[in-house]
Amino acid sequence: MADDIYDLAYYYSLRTASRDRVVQALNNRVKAEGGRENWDKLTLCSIDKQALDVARLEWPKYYNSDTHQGFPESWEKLFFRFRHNPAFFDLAIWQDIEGRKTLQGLALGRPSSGKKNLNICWIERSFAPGYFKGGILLPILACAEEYGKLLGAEQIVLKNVIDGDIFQKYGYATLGNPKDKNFKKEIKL
Amino acid sequence: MSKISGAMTVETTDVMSSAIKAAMTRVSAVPKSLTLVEKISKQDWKVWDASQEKALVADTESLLENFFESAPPKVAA
Repeated sequence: MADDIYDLAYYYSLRTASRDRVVQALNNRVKAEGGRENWDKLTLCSIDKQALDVARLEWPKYYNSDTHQGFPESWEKLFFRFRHNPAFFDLAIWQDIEGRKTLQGLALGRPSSGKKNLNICWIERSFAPGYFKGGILLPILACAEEYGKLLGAEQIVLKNVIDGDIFQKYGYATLGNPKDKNFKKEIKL
Repeated sequence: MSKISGAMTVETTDVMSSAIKAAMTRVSAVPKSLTLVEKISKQDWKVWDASQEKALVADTESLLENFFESAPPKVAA
């Protein structure tokens, strides 16, 4: 049990540190170059019950043929699948919009067994009105990369992306096979 | 180790403190490098608009796996 608590605390601390780095980077960039309106009042944090409730109760209200119809499993089930591995990756992106806490995105992932890859397996954005211009991918991928560096991983793998074109601008690519839905990027220190 | 339901024991606190310290040591040991945020070009940052991106990743194949595979390598205390 002590080992479990140790690992939980260790990897939780690494995830927190990775988010801190990304938040600092966003703040510094906004201060230097502007764009605050794209990133205003964001919080990057762990997935909790409140996030899971919003994903279950609010997000589906905005699903349609232009968005998607949700994942085959609820975020709650997915979260509890991943959480048994203390080194799992998770991120909830909240934004304060006119005093209301709004869930903008969720992400889940896990390292491969040799820790060579950090696999990001589930990402979903909110399709509700008020989705922010910054978008969830930059903070999610940035946090994944920083966490991957701390784990000593060599690459980030996005497992089965829906719209591959949008990931290229973040530096992700397939191996060239058009049927390959996994996108990868080497993490360089 | 004593079990006190719903409370932190001294041992638990020590274990957590040790883990957090080890994590901070790890963070300090890994050289800081540019984050993805910093790598976005000035030009792209100026016109940044990801509001239309369909930010979805769905590893449905993994739902068929036995998820209770081997745990990650144990962290040295």
